[in-house]
Amino acid sequence: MQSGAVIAGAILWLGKGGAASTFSLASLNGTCVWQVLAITTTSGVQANTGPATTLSEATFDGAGHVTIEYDVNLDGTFTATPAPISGTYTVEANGHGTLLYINPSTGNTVDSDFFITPLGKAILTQTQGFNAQAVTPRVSNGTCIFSE
Amino acid sequence: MRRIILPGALLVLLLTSSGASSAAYSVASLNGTCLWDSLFYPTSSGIQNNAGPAAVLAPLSFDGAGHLSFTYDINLNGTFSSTANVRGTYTVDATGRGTLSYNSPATGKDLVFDFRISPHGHVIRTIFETYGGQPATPRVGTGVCTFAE
Repeated sequence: MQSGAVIAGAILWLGKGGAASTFSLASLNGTCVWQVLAITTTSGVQANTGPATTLSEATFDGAGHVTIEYDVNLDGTFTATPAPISGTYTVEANGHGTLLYINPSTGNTVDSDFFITPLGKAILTQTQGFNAQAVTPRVSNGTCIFSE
Repeated sequence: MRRIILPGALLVLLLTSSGASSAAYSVASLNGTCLWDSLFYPTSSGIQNNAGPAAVLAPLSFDGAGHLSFTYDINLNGTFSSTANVRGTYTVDATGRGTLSYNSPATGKDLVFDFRISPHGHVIRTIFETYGGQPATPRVGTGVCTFAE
């Protein structure tokens, strides 16, 4: 990974001993393995479309850009991404952030909410938005692990 | 920020290493911030059955004296929102089992979660216990709050 990169911000954060934190885009610089379980909602235009799981490799460049290669089982049907997907991410000083990408195969825009874990070894994610719809088709939780 | 929960866990390790079997957790064992990740599945019973799933991400700050505060992000059956300045209380018994309670600003309902501190004190694992005093929770939830991954 360069998984040390994501840890650097956390160590600085802890070392200060106060409430202020020091996370930034540069805190995510390297590759994590991202596993997500998504459960279908009962509302919205894509309600009851079945569950999904994804297993991805997400590579952050420390400057707000991310590349994702992912495999997905969508309601029972497995596919592997033919080519890496490009996306963007944001990080707030407290470790809260967003990750946005457009799947070129489907054209879907996927917006994830995340927090960097206390020691900076992973990010925890959930679905925040999907194609700018009022309701996402699934709720999810995921973990992208830089080191374990 | 984080003093982590390790004091209680270290005490447990010390007791274990000296051959004692009892633990010594208390509310003081939780002092710091953990990142809570919880996924909720809809139930098929109760007045809110089939209400859809939910997912929560929240940094929980424990004060070591039975109080907690947090901001949480939630995707509730497809609708995402953030809620700040939530306050609650928690208990911890000597074995590391506890409860976490707060009043939802969104619904006005009291939520209670059952939890257990992991053997090394790095995480607490949660399940949904009660919701608004109803006989059945609208969802079952499984979560982990990570102090040190």
